[in-house]
Amino acid sequence: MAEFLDLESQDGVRMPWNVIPGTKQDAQNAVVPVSAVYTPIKHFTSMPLLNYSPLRCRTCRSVLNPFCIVDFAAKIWICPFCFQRNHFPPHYASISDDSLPAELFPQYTTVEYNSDAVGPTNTPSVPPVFLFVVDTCVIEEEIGFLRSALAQAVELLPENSLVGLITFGMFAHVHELGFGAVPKTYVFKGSKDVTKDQLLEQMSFFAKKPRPAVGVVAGARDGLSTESISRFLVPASECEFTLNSVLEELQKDPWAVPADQRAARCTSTALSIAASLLGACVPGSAARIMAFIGGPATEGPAPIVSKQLSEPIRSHKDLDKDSVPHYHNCVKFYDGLSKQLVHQGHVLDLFACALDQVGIAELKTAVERTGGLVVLAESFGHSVFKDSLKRVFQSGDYDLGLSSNGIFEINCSKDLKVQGIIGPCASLEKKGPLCSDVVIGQGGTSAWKMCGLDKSTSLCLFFDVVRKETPDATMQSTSNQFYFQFLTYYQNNSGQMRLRVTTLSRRWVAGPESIQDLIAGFDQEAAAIVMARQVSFKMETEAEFDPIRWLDKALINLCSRFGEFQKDTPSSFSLSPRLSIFPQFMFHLRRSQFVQVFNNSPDETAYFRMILNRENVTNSVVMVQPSLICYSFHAGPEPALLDVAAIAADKILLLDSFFTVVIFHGSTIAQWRKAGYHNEPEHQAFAQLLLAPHDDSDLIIKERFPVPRLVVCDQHGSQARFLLAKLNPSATYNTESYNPGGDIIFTDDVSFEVFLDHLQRLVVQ
Amino acid sequence: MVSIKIGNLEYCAQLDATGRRVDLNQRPEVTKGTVEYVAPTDYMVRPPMLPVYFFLIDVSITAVRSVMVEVVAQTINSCLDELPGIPRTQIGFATFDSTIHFYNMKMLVVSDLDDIFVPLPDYLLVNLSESRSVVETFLDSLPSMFQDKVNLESAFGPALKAAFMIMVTLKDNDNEMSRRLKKVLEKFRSTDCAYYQLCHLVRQGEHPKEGFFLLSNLFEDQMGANIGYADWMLQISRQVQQA
Repeated sequence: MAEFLDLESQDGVRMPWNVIPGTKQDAQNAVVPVSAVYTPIKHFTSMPLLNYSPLRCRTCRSVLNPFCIVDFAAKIWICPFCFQRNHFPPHYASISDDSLPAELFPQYTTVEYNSDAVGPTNTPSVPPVFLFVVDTCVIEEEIGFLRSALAQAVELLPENSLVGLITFGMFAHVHELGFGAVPKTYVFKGSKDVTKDQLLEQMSFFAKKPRPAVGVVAGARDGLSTESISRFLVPASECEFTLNSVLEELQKDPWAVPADQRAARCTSTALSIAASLLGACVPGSAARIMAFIGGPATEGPAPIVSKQLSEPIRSHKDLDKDSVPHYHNCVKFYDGLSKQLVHQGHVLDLFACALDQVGIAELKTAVERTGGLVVLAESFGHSVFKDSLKRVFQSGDYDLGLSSNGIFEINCSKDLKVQGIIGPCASLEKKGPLCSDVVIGQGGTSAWKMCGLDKSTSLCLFFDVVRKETPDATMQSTSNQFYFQFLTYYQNNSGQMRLRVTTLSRRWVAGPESIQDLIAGFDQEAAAIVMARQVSFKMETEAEFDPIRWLDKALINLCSRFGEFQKDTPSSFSLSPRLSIFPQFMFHLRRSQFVQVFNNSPDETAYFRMILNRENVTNSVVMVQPSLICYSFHAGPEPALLDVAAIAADKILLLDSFFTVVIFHGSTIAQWRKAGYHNEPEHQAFAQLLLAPHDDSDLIIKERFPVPRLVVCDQHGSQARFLLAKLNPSATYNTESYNPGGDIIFTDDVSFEVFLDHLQRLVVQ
Repeated sequence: MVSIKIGNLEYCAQLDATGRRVDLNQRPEVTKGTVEYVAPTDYMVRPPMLPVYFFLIDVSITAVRSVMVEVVAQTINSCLDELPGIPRTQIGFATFDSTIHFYNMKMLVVSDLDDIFVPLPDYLLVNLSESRSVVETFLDSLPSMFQDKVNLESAFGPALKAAFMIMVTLKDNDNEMSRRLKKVLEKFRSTDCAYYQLCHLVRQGEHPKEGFFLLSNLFEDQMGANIGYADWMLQISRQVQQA
């Protein structure tokens, strides 16, 4: 376990199989895919930053790395991916085995090249762009919350950034912040989509000069004047007063809403205009559309529901039955929008704060493909939204490290092929021999666009082992290593262009004798997360997919292959420590909100899955199997089993399920607190006991994005359901006896013990 | 011709020695062939429509450079006291070049000339007495707003249509009789789309409420119709009388 964390702290990679099944058949028998969860721009303290261009293989374009074989005398290096012999250029003349460049150091498997150090000096860095798209179809109180949140965001904006504002309701208003005398907006009908050409014409971008006759018009180099652009995208330092004035005047959408109807909200039109505006003004630059949406879209090319209140918003049941009149048209529209944004290199962030759904399920494609952030809260006044928005612009220790214009490329050994990526990226359609015919996620390519990424953004890469098993032992390959190289070009939040190169080597094994080697290299946490991403993906893309059956079958097959047992003897079953908690992960995964969608809206499910698809392994494990810490008088804080048996009258529990942090007081603790004992001097220990979980939860909340919701509750209280839903129901109303002072869970779900018992029976038969 | 106010005056009068009414000099209707009466509320269904003045001002480059915009602003400003109907008078402004600009504490630009629409449901017309200072400030700053603009085009047609849309969308629109007429129209339209046709403000019938309905609820439809306009009005009239 610890060695997998060491690998992650060196390269940002977690792989389920760190000893890789070496043939197609072995990989299929392994059940858990050959895959990697990679964090492209994870922060490393000891990573070298190289101020020269990388050396690349003539044939496959992979970068010089520690696994290359070097002939110092002949000044030749051999690429481990395609075995091409490459000559060192003249400025590597002094290379020798005691004079190595940094990228050949064995410990520097991850290096970063500073692209700005090479090439034309003093290239002016393009400022980042923030385009706020604000929903005004909300009640006055929400407008007030939104106003103050945006005012704070404007203060925290980087000094050199450009700011734009679009507000929308029945109509979309593009605010001209650069026009000084009178506040001015361009108004577009919410019911009509606007193309970029229409936008250029209608917003007078060519008022002073003739429009170019041919070609795609975009950006300053294509005829748009800086003056035109600066009407709508204004430096933050210049427009603070104007923007704050506009925000002060922000009003509820003025159109009257009949009592039997929803407000007319043209979300899709506003986002389309935002995309076209950025595409016209700043294509290819770092730019974010930040959408603040307070309710369902009812107007425009992609409403998620009609205005009639008699028509309910779609639920999972509707999706399953395919009785969703708007859904598919919406998804298609936002798919087109995401293609446009990816082509422009721009990001769509989504802040959804409403008691009802807003359409996250439909917008998921656009946010995910562009690498955007997503926050879901009940109100713009809720701390989840307010603190999360603050964190977007915060610098210092908890800086998100927002970066842009990422391009991610993969090279790997000949006997491996790339199936695809599940994560916040979009395919660049770079086909080649590296691409597998079997696609998972964004596949059919070896290069992806990551318009937006941050230092914890993680991609899940899937590989197909295509090596055939050779009957003749004498034909064994000279090498038993698979090599991977991940290249990430990106622009960091200081505007510098970087290329990060991570090169990995993993041993492969083949045949029936390889079981023990495979087990020794199994990272069950990474495996759990790969399975979670894959099952979520399958639930969204495969009709009639049964996730429970699929997970159970996978688990049975995995245990059959890698467990030790005597046939037909359940009690003989055992798993290596490398796999022993994997069944537990699967148990909690099949009970998690990623698989059990009954109690959640499609928006909530989409939200949970978007976060799962972008977080690293450690955070994702907390989503699948929350952590539980117990506080009591008898001992300091200690981890507790995620089980209802952990509940006791004299204990406090701290549950972290990533999206929610729950502080749960046992009934005796609650009584004492209500009686006010912690306010008495002689009960200082009790006061400290009450305070301890809050200190720990503050630490969690402070460093996490999106900021989790804090729930403080007591045993038998209604809010306790946030905890009970996550616990193993070892004690229910069906069980004979339970711990006095403890609790039972009112459920028919099977407990982990029953689950494990069934698993053992099925494996050994 | 003289106008007189009818109050509680008795219409009978005594005769003088020569046989003429003693109030002959106080009653112009008995000596003049043409007189005009100021109608009391008994003769009105409701108070008269608010006087509305909507100014469309061309701000294209020709208008700006010929100083027309400046002259227009000054002239309107100097005539504000002369507009009839104060204190109920409503006033509004829009300017146009290649786009149409509406005003409500800020400028709202509508650039889709093929499908013109009004960007706000109200407050594009304001009460002149109550908003006098705002109107004057606007007129004072109008010339400088467009001093540096270079816009050759002038979209008078769409601007006129927009003004029309604003003036028929008054606050008084939402009342019981308006709703009833709308229901009538909706019922017609749901049965036969031929009733989506242009509606002109022309009196046809004798019923006094008919004109009121049409004044209050002017509808405009672009779709052609195969039914005659007169027939349509006739059916409306019958429905109105049944209501």
